Amino acid sequence: MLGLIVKDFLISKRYTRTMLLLLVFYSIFGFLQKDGGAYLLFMTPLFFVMMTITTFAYDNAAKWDAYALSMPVMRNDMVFSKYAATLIFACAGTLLSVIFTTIIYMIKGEVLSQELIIGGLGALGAALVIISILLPLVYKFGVEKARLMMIAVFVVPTILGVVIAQTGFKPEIDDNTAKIMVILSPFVVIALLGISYLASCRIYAKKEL
Amino acid sequence: MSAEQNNLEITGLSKGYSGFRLNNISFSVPQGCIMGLIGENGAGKTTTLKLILNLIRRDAGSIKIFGMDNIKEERAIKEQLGVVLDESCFHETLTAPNIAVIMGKIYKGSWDNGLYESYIHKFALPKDKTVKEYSRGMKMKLSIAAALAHHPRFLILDEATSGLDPVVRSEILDVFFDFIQDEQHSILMSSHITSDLEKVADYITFIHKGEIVLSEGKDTLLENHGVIKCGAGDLERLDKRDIVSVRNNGFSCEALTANKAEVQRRYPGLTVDNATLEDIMLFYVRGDR
Repeated sequence: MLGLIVKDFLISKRYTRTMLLLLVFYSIFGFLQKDGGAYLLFMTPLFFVMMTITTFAYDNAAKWDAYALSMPVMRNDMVFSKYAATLIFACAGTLLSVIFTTIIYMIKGEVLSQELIIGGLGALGAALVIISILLPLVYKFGVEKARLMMIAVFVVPTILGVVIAQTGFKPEIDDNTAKIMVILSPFVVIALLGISYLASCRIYAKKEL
Repeated sequence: MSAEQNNLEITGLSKGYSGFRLNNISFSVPQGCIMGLIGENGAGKTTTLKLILNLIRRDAGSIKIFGMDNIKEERAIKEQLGVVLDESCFHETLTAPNIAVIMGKIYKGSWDNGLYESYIHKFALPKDKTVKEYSRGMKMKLSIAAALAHHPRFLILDEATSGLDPVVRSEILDVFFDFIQDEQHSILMSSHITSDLEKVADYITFIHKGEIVLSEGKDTLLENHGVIKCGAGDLERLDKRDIVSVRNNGFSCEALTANKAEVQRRYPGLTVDNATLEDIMLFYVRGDR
């Protein structure tokens, strides 16, 4: 299984280079922005998480799955390694973006607020939630169809959000509730990832290669 | 006499798709032997190999590798299996050293990097080029190096030599021949290149439309079969039970017999040529009964 994770890293080298370039670009962009540009912090986890989806596309092109499963690699190992790689990519991406953002803020002499860090972690959480929904879809329908479905998954809540905002509905959340939500959210994300993993295993176990 | 051990035992294997059915396949591959799997495209060769590897689920039957059930002991079996599929299955951007790293972690205990390097060297594969830059022959050799470097007992090859020039094929067949010198090793290879199988195979299993046509020793097969070449009139005289099928080609007739010695004895003036594996395949598939 470690071999599979190493494989995903090795084939993602070019994508990683593009990501790092984007990171630098966004850093400069953020530097020039008045408000310090939180783009970096929020977008980076998502980019790195999308890298996992790209590895699926590479695997398909290489017809890797049938070959891998002819080795002492079980189907659950294949699924687990994808989730593990995703987590590693996502955490690495978040760490890098926090470092870059901190540097920008330090250079600009601004203070990195606690809210920004929490916001960044929130972005990581959101990216992991997206992956929790996306990976089982990829296993079931393949990369291309899943990407299209993903757009729907993005669009629907966005439209809902806009519509709700139009109605002027503003949910009142007091400090305590907010604190509880913040503390609970990592557990919710982990639980979602767990459910997602089990669903993916079940789908992949039935797949005929 | 010691009981012959089989590295592979397939009994009553069946798998149905819409429009195709693999029906009641049974054959065995003994230790120390190479078995060639022949059949036209769509006959069921790849389906059979995929069922052996548990890439697809069987409807009925049993598959035993090294005496173990191929599903219950899947991981233990696959530690000792070397597989080469007909397309190179490595990602384009990987190099031979990259592949060694990946495989080394997958075959934790058994990966022999020294052996891998020696094959890479023997096959003259450039270590700094990516798979994308390899020719088809190089890709195949790379796959074979990867399959052999963890000291497998049983090699399963799906069209591993198709699309390769005779020189490369000869190199590869030599490697297989070396592999089989260990009495515990076996090879199951599906191939369209019947001349290769005539060179190296000990047994031939012929699949047609999802069923086994024959599964026997290659030498016996070639000894028993012959191609009768005669005119239409002569053909009428022959006992129908001796004929597998007939092919008319305008001027004369050709018929395949599975009893060459008998036919030669009973019809002394008759021309009966040796049959090649290709002849046998063509007559069974395309001949008229």
